[in-house]
Amino acid sequence: MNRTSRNALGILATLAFYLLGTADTIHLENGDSVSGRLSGMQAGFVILEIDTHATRRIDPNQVAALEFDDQTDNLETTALRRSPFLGLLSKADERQLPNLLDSYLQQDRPLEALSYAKLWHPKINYEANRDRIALTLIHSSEAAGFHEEAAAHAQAWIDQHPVPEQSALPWAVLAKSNLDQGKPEAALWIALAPLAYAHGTETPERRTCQEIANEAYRQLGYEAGQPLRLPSLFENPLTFTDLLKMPLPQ
Amino acid sequence: MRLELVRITLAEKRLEEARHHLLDTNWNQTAMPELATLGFLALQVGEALLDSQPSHALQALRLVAPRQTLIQEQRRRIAKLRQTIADRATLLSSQQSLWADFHRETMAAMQAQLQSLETSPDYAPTLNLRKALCFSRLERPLEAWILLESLSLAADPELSPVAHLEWISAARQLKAWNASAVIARKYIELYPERNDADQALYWIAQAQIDSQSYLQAIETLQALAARTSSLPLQSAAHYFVGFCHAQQNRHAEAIPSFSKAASLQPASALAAQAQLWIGISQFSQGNFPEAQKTLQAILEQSTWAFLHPEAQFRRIACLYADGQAQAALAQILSWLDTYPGHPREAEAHMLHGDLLRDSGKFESAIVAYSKVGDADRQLQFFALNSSIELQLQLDRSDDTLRQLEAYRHQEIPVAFAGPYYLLCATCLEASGKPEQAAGLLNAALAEFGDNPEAKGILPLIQRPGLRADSEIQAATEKQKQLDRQTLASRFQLAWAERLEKQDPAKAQALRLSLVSDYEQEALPPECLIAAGEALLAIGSLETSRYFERLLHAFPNSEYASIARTGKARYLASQGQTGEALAILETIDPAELPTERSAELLALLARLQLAADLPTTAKETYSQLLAQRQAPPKLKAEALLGIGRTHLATGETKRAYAYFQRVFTLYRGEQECVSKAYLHCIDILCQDSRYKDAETVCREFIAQTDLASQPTYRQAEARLADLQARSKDAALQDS
Repeated sequence: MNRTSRNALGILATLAFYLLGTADTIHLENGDSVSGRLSGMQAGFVILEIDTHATRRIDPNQVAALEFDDQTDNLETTALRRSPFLGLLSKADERQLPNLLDSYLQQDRPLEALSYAKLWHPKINYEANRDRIALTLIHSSEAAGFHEEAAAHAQAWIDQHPVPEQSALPWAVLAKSNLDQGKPEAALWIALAPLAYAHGTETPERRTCQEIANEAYRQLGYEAGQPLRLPSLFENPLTFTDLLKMPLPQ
Repeated sequence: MRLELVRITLAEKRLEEARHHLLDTNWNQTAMPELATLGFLALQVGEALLDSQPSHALQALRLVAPRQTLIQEQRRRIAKLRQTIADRATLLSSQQSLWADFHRETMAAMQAQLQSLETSPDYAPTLNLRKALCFSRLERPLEAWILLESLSLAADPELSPVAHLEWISAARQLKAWNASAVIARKYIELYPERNDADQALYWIAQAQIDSQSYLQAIETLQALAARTSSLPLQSAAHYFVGFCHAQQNRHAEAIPSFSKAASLQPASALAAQAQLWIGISQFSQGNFPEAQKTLQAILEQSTWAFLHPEAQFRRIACLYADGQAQAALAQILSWLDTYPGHPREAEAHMLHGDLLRDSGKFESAIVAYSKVGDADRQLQFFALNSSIELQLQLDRSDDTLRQLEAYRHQEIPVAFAGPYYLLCATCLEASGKPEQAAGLLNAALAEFGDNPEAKGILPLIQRPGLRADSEIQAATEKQKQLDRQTLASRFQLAWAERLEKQDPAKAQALRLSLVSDYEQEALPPECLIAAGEALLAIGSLETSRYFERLLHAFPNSEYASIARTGKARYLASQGQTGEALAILETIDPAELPTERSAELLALLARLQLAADLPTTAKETYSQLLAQRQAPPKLKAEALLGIGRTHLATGETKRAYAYFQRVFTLYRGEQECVSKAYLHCIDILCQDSRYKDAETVCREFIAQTDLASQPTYRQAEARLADLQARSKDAALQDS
């Protein structure tokens, strides 16, 4: 089929979907565009419904961009429509997924948030969105009562982001986990990290860290005016590695 | 507007106003360029307030947004402008070119700002270092540690060394001496050529001193003294070397170090301190005349006035120790008049009381003791004890009971429970109230007996006439049943002591049972010692645990030196001579009861000989000989030991003299006497004096009570040979 024929077909398809009310568009690497209704992925191919009987299977390597025609739909609908196409989405489209997870959390639906977060996290393209979903993993597992899992996600976050600049949530969760396991010294070091690096206005997570730190101090027997003695610092002999309280900078 | 206010007040150096405008109300600034301006101003205010108001400085520094936030906000601003341009483009007509130019210029400026942000170095490390300094000044060393650790490991050539030094400080704020030493060593490893590495070495030494690792501290300080060109650090290094030696009672080594410290900076306060320590060391060596001279020299230095009260007090103590009680008495009165309210005032009253007591002025002594006060409960008790002894001599037992009652109104320190109640019992008995005394002692046992920290409990149990042997045995079983393990173990030890003379085997078995019958944690210091020594006697591998338990759980106990001695004896028995020697060399014999002190010296000398330190061993044996109350066996061993050291260096005449003293002065010590005789025979043979050797040999063999000694049989075997040689020598002479 020559270029003129392909263009004609594309225009017809667009017209058809204009009449039907939906017209998603796939912009191809070669400059062409194809419209229809993006229905999902199948065997690694993008499936575009041209009409009620015809579909096109497009190699994702040929896809330059996807354009969705559903801006008036609710967040859940638009996000879930986009979710099968992770890896091909624009940054703005991809952002809708973490937005949806945040809304689940606000609606007290942590299990749904957790399920989708686990599904989407490995495939998210843009770093900012990936970070948001990683934080959602922590938040949702903690909210769902899966504390050990939350601590594991928190540790994974801290390993990747040793400096608590974005959010104090991972430190709050991990510190709480340590406190619950009867490790007040570890809890204290972890809880204090976001407070040491704090900037801007106080957040609920930082307040949580402060509360955990206060409780850890109390459990360690610290009283105001008395020197704090942390057991790990008074062991003999100590190596330099024993003293490190933060992951080494990457 | 508010940002402008901050900027103006800061520029005009009106810092307090700048602080007020910056911090006293919240900021809602999220957009550029105000966000960047806020950060810039906040950083300046934070810097200015860091030393004087670290809390506000921290608050200001927290207003500085991270660079990434500024970049994101700038991008958002650019995107917004782009959208604005796109929206307006459809509406503009004739004025389009003007607007287009304006937008183009604005966009270019914002892009340039963005690029500048993206390419500039990250200011986060500098910011974090300042936050860390704030936390340090606010005594929040953990937060400081978190920031400083990260900065130290970031390998930033400018910031990392500074952060690393501050990290050492943060560890010291936590009094984590070992940790600070480890961090400081890492600093020296990373930056060996930096001048402030000397400071790090100094901190390592301080950390070691604070954790009482004096030998290691001496090594570190000597390394510092060798490498540093800073005179104050050199002087401090020598001073603290002296200090470490003094803490280990090595006063002979301490004095030269203090002298060196003083000579390096003779006008400094450190020199004054060093001189004082020289005086203290001389006093500790018993060299009272020299100590007085040294302390007098401090008193004559007007620039060292801050040390005059201390030096004068110690000089008075020297006079007292040197037997010049009258002179001391006159001077203590002058001291009390000159320095009222001095921290040593209570001790001065105590000393005054002792001097008056020794002068026979009992009434005045009692008055002096009453002025000791209650700031130091230990000193107060000592004063009370001394005063009551005098009052009992003056037959004023009723007064003593009132004073003891007054002392009891404040809580009795557990450490003095035993001595206090013993004193009370003595006073009650002196007042003709023995039943009350017995009741009081039993009440004291009930209250304090099961507390391992309480001292002087055994004498309460052993109080003559209070309990029969069978009662002590019964009490042991009863306390065991009541699960009062500590008290039960004390009763058991008292029982063992009662049986010592009539059934030593049973007594030893009771002591060994302390190990099997009680949890180690329940044993008080006196029982830990008894158990440890019982185990040592049978060569048990568990021995060390009991001494170590005492040293760990009761480091300030009066039994600590005995425990260390016991541990050293155990190590010596296991062939660990070096470790045993290291422990013994840290013990001051004066801290031990006389019989134990002599044993310590004997063991120390033996180990020094084994470690091929004959000169040091000879000095130790000489110390042993100087102890009047040392057992004859040990004195004989000392003479033998000194003789052998002289023999090893070829000084046969001197050696002979010492060996001769063994069998002339300590005839009852058969083993030593026999060995001494054999040595004498050998020396005479070496000098080819076979006739004299034969004479000595005959003298030895004539003492048939020595026949069981192996050296006796050796002498017997040699007699024939000595006779023959003697005859040959006589023939040659003729």
